[in-house]
Formats: sequence, structure tokens, C-alpha cells
Amino acid sequence: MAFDIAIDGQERTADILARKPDLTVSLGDAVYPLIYSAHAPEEFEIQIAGKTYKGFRYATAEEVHVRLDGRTFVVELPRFGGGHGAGGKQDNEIRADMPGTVVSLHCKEGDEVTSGQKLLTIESMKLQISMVAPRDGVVAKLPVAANTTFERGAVLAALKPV
Amino acid sequence: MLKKVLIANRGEIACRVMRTCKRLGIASVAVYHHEDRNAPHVAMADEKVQLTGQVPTQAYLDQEQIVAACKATGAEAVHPGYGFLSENAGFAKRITEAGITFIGPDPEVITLMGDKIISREFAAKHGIPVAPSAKQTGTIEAFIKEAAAIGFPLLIKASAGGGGKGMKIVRKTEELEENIRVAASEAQRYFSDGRVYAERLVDMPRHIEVQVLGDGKGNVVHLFERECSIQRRYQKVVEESPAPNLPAKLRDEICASAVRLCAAAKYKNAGTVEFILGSKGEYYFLEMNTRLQVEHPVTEIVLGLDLVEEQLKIASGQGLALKQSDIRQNGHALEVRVCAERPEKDFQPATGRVGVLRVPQGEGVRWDGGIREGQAVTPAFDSMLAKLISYGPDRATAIGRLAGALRDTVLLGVPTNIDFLSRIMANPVFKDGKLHTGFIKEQGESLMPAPVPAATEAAVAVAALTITDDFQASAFHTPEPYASIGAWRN
Repeated sequence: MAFDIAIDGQERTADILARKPDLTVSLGDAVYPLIYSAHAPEEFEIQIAGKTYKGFRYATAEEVHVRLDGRTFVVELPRFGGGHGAGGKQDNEIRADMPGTVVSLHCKEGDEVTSGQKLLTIESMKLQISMVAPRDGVVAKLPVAANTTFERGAVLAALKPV
Repeated sequence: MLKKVLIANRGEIACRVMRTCKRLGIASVAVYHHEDRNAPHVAMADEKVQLTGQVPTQAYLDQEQIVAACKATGAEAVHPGYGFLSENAGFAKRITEAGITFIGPDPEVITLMGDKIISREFAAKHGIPVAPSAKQTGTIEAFIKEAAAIGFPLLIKASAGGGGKGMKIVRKTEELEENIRVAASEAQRYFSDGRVYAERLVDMPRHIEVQVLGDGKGNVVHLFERECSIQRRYQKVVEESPAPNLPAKLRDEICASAVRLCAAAKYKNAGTVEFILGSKGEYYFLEMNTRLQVEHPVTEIVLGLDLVEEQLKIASGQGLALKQSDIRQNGHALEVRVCAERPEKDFQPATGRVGVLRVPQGEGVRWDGGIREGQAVTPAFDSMLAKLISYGPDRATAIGRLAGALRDTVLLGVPTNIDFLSRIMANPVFKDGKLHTGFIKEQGESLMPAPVPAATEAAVAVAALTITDDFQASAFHTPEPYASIGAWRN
């Protein structure tokens, strides 16, 4: 059974190749026999090729955060329906990472825009942030008017091909 | 000494003030909004009073409720921390009129220093260097002409502002008008005061600030300098004391300027005078913060002082216990601000829940935090979660200890800048102490994450996948025949 995941946005496929004598997992083309243990739900210990990887993890609603070797990794898993690799429709939509207010719109529906062009300015957590076009296109939708609040995940702008 | 103090704040600074109160035998009163009911500052206080408000920040800004809380608990004094009401002259006045001691300067001094234009004029009048500038006195159109006359590059700021809000850099005439208009509208939104001013920008400047203590009668001592040049979005990220590679003569001159300003203002309380320092040793007054700073711990550590204790002594009328000649720097201290944000996405603030928290320990390491496991990080408050501070006999040791402490910190559930801070500590230019406020932009690429070794990535994948039922079932619970089939049946 293969698992399509993304580590810090990099797509990877993991698979279980064997359970005995050691649990053997592949990640991409590489194969890793390993020993896994967990003393507490948030702690893990994994041995690979004689090296011990000891760390912490925490599952949010959307992803798993893993702390290992002084670094935090964000892992998207299939069960969370993570956004990675979705492509197509999602690439056309610019969504809010957090709740906020639209301060001003710098374009209108039907405008042709180029990659990196400022579409609108929002304010979240007391900071003003410019939302830019991820690629060239035509503004198909600007669903949130200026001085209007929005929730996390709301579509702030949508593009369609020129 | 005071007997009971209400802390009109939340988070790490409320905890910080209470620690000193506790040590000095002063009772503490916490105020809190319902959303903070499980926050550490509420648990730590001797007494607590709930404040109500439509949104949480409104509660902490509600002067009448805070006065009522003082009356209800018998608190004789209010410590405002930083942010919220700490630099609100109206609040200082209201508190004083209610017969309560405001732990801070007199309202008139807050007003004087709170206005960027008036404070600059005051500084210039007392012989403190200020950068060439233009202020908006009439229409925005007239101001655009005056600003252009100073020459570029220019910095456009909100007159009533702070924290970089409403601040713009303009390098060309054709960008001037739009930037001034945007800055004015942001200034109006943030500070209800749309006036802006422009000043000559010092390219690649250092941010040097001087900690002072004043008794309100014109007696002022300085507690040396801090360097806060590592910034993003005009907000400080790394602070340290002493400033690296700063000639002693120049340092003494800057500190003397700060003392002169505060003596002239008859400043009372702990305060900070901020300067920008150019590459040729030219320095200009930036602003004064009439409160305890976020980064005060680095000064405390190198001087062996407790600044909150000094504030409490001054507020209780004991005056200045310190003589300038008694104050000496010893060793080096660094502080980093741990924030809920995404450095890879232009430091956008992030939200979430503190799922796992392991605070670093060890020699020369101090964690000033106000968060606990299970706590939600919402857009309601500032994105700073904690401060991590390190000390060493020299700068290299302090950097090494901070790097180790960052590595040991576990804070999962909300995106943070912890790993970004680790990469700053590892940066060779930072280690050399070649600092300026454009450091993060300049070092851009080298502050990005390094590639991950393949085996580490595999461990990360397994650590994440083992929490899912599907993986668990396939890896550990499936009867053997099916599991072995599983390997090849796909």
C-alpha cells in the first residue's frame, strides 16, 4: 500500500515493503530497514542503519509537524486530504491562510494580470500583506470586497487563463 | 515599596513582571480576557480579574475596567508592560487621577516622546543629532514636494507610529506620491492619525538603542547599548548587548546623547532611546520608547540587574539606587523573538495550537515565555510567543548557546520562526558581527533551509505516517500473509 505524502511541500511516495525481520519502508527509490518505537504519542525513536532518530511530532487538523535534528518538518498525509499535488482548479484560487480583512483591491474582475502583480492587500494579525498573482491570467473573481472580513481558507481571488 | 501591583498585560511580559513581584514579596493581580483564561499569566498571579470586551485586545485596552480592577483588588500600582496601554498618556493620567501609581513616566513625557515629530524637535533642541527630514503640516500635495526636496532614499513614517506600521522606503521620485498616500491611509487606520513624515534614509544602517533609568527629577543613568539590527518587516528579530564591533568612543557618545535627552525631559522610569547608526559613524535619534522593551533581558544579563525591580523602586519613590560608575558590562547576551509566523512566506503571521512544548534548558539560557501546551494561538494577539535569551563570557559563546537552545526547543502545532533563527545563528556574516537592518534581505538565500539527508527524510516520513491507522495496520497489525502479499500486490 503506497502513501503519497509531502514533506515541506516536496511530494514523496512511501511504501511498506516488508514487516520482518525489520520493518522496511521505501521513500522514493531508496529502501530503509528500520526499527520504530514510541514511548509517548508525541515522541518517537527510529533506527536506520545504526543511527537513532529521536524526535517529537504533533498532528494538526491538516498536517503532522515533526521535530527532528533541531528542525521542524511539515508533513501532509493522504488522510488529511492535503492540498499538495492538487493542481488545476486550486492553482486558480488564492486563498486566505488566516482570517483577516481586505484593505484594498488593486484590480477588478476581467483584468489581465501578470505573475507577481499585486491583486489585493489584506490585513491579518495587524500586518498588511499583498496578495500577488501566482501566474499570468485574467481575474475571474474577487469575491471579498474592500473593508470586508474573511475567514481562513476563503477564496480572495480567482484567475482563469488568458 | 509597593505591596500590590496590577499587571495590565498578558503573555510573557505579564509573567516576567510577576516573577520580580514574587521575588520582592509584592502581590500581583492579573487581568485577562476569557480567551486567555488558561494562560500562564493568569495561573501565576495572586489574584485575577476578568475583563470583558467584544474582541480580546479591546479588553486589555479598556481603561475603566482596569481602574475598576485596581479598586476591587486594592492594587496600588499598575505595571503596563509593553504594547497595549504602556505608552498611552491618557491611561497614565486616568490611573494617576484615580489615586493609583502608574509604573512609567508622567503623562506629559509620554505625549512628548510618543509623537515622532515633536520628540525629534525636542531632541534636536537639546543637541542630539537628527536625520534631515520633512514633516506634514498642510496638505498631502505640499508634503510630497517637501519630501522630494530632501533627496532619496527616503523613509516615510506615520507621525504617531511605531513598530514599522505605515513605514515605506522610497528610492525614486515616481514612487513617492503613491507611497505617501498609502502610508497616510495606514497611519490613519492604525493610529487614528493620518499625519506622516519623511526623513533621509541611512543605507545599511545599524539599530543601536540605549537603555536608561530616570528618577523624574532629572537624574538619569544609562545601562549601555543594545544592538537590534536584525529585523524583518521593521520589527526586531535578534537583539544583543553589547553591540559588536562598536568603537568604545562612539558607544560612549551615543549613550551620553541618550542621557542628555532623558535628563532634559526629566524622564522617570526605565526607557529606551533608539538611534540609527550609519557606516561612517554618523548616528541619528530615531525615537524613544517610554516603557520596558521586549529586549530588556539582554541588558539585565550583562549588567546583573533586574529592570522590573528598578522600575518598581522608582515608582515607589525610592529614586535611583544606581550610580553610573557602578554600572559595568560583563560578557555578552543575545535574545531572539520566537514568533508564530512563516519565514518562507515573507514572515506572514501564523495561527494554530501549541501541541507540544519543550522549553530549552542549560547553562546561560533563559526562556521568557507566556505559552503552554494546548494554548490556541489566534490572530487576536501579537505573533510573539516567547523570547529565548543566552549569555556567555563572549559573543561566540553566547551565539553557540543560543544555537543549542534553539535546536533543543520543541514547539509544534503552530508554524514558528525557530529554525529560521537557528540559521541566523549559523550564518558567518552574523557570527562576524557585520550587522545592519537589511541583513535578512541581504542574506536571503543563505538563510533558507539546507537540503535534508535522505535517511532523515525517511525518519520524518515514518514519524508522521505512524500516526495514521492505515500505516499502523499495514506495518504492525496486519496478519503476516496479507502483509507480505501487500508488498507486491500493488
